[in-house]
Parts: sequence; C-alpha cells; structure tokens
Amino acid sequence: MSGRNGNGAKKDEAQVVVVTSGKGGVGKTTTTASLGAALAMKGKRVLVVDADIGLRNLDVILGLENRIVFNLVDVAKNVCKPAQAVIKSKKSNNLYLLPASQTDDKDVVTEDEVRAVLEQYKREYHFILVDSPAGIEQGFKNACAAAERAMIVTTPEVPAIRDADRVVGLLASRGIDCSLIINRLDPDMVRRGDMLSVADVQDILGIDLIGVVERDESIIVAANCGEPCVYNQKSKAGRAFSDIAARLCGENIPVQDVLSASIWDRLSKRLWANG
Amino acid sequence: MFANMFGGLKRGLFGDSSRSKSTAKSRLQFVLVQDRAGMSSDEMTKFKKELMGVIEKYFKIEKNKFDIAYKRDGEMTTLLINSPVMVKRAGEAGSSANGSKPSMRNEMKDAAPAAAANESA
Repeated sequence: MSGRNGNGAKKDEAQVVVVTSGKGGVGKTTTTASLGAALAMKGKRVLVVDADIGLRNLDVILGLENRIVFNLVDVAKNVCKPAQAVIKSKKSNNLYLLPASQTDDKDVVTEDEVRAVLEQYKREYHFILVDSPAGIEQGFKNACAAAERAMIVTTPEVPAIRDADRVVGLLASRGIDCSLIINRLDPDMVRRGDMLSVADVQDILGIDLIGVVERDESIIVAANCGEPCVYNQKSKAGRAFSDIAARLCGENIPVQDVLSASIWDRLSKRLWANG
Repeated sequence: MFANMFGGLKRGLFGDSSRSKSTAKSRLQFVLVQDRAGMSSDEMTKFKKELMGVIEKYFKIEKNKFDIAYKRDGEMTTLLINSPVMVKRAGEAGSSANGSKPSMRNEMKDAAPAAAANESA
C-alpha cells in the first residue's frame, strides 16, 4: 500500500485516516462510524475522532451522546488527560470515540494542536479515523493535520463530485493518498441513465476506488437508533462498509459491480420489499 | 405537474437516448477543467482562443469541435487538447467538385504533463 507520507509513522502506531468530502451531507460521519465499527469487529482497536467542532454528530451516530464528558478541544488545551476524553462504544471493546466540542467554533484549535492531540493516542490503536467537517477551511485543515491517508466520500451527483475534486487536489498537494468511496449509488437510476455510474465517477475523479455503498434505508434506521449499520446482518450498506474495512486492512476484495445483480435479486427485492 | 411537462419537453427535444447522466458528465468535465486550472470562464475562453490560434498556423481545424480536458491520474494532472484537423488526401480536387467534404479524421492530442496538482489552500 503506497502513500504513507513522510511523518515517520512506525509499524506499531495507528494509521491515521481522514474521512472527508468537501460537500456536506454525503455521508462522512456515517462512513467514519461504520468503518470504525467494522474495523473493530475485525479485532482492530479503533479511535474515531469527531473533528466537526461546533456541529458534532459522530457521537449521535454511535449512540454515545449521553456519555460525553470531555472532548478534543479539552485535550488540546490540557483541560483533561487524553484518556479522560475517550468514550468506549456500547457494542464493542475495540471502538472508542473522541468527541468534538459543541460550543466552540472551528478556529479554537490549530493544525499543530490537533496533530499533537492525535500523537498521544497513536500507540494505543491500530486505526485513528478522523471525521472531517464539510468545507475546505480551518476545520478541514485540522482534520487532515495528522492524516496519512484520506477516504474521499462522494455521491454520484454533480455538486458532490465537483467538491470532491477540489478536495482531492488540496490533499494531493499535502501528499495525502486518496481513496474513493461512492455513497448512495442507486443501481436502477444508473441503469436508466439518470445517475452517473461507478466508472463515470472514477473516470472523472481519477483516484483509486475503495468501495461503493448503495442507497439503503437501513442507514437512516441505524442513525435513528444510534447503532451503526454494520451490526445489522441484513443491511446491504453494512456489508459494503465491512468490505471497505477489510480492504483498509489489506484484504483483496473486489468491488462488486452493482449493476450485475441477477434478475432474481432485483425481482425478489420488489416482491419482498417492505424494508 | 409543471416539472413533468418540462421533462417531457426536454425529452422531446433531445430524444430518449440523451439521458441526464451524459449531460451531468459533460457538464462536470467542463466545470472541472476550469476548477483544476484555477481559471475563470473568461480566462479559459482566452486560453482556448490562443491555443487554437497556434494550431491554426499549421493545420486547418474544426473550431467548434476543439476541446480541452484536464485529466487527473493519481497525483499527475495532464492537459489534453482534442483538436480535429482537416487533412488533405490525394485526388482532393475531384471530390470537392461533387461537394463532399475533405476528411477530418485526425485528432491531435498534445499531452503536457504538469507537476502534481498544486492548488493552494
């Protein structure tokens, strides 16, 4: 796997991955939570970090909103010890959350401060996943501060792809390797010619694809309950995120061509469709 | 209801074969050239005009098919110029007499690899 940048990351330190997009609302937080949960299910120790200061949501997606005492800003400003700010997830002994603060704005910490905070956790985890805010300003820069690798999340839509492209350019200039996650793909719309296909998006953005997640109601249900979709055996999106987690661990799982779903799969979906 | 009428009108004008995703793709490719180059729409027009001027010194070009793409491949960004040109064939004089156009088969791709995309933050 190429692209560990020159920050001298050692083999027994966490790989720091930023999940970003440019565009808001395309699924960064869902992706961070789901990938974190999936990696934890594979036995990896994972810290998911909410870098969306002022508009935190990683806590709510993980169902940990009642457990927050300290947060990333507190650690940065030495208000508390690093261990005090970290919350263990309800369902896994391997998954931990470092929440954002809700009352500050994004300029309250600098890139150097965020880097220093994450440094303190690197030896305890296999992966640190950072949920980036939307945009390309200070919040985004902070989220990328310690990252060696980036997951670029986009939907197959014009504004999302445009913003993702901008972000890819910015990350390339920082020497951060980018991998593409296409979210909310609708195979029927792609077949009809009303949605850009996986190949189209790959062709336009020109970065390596690490996974495709189809539009799936189970994601909304998961968010309602605060339980990532990967814990739901029946969730197609959950399986997609689990596959991405496996690829992050170096496993060679080919990305399934969603359009080649058999006629029986499509028929049975219509016959039994009630969620 | 109004949206449906408009949709029907669009399909009538462009035919069912021209689905919205093709429009999306070409619009994106157009917009990304400017975004990646950091050029405004006006600067892009000026750039294209100057380029066409240079090529026209040596070739006869099909101006409305002239196109620029800015393609990314990992960290490399490449400028691709697509310029259909008219090439004379032997015995041309006879064919123009009966009104057939000279062939314009050749595309000239001029790849000028740039350094890794270095948009400033």
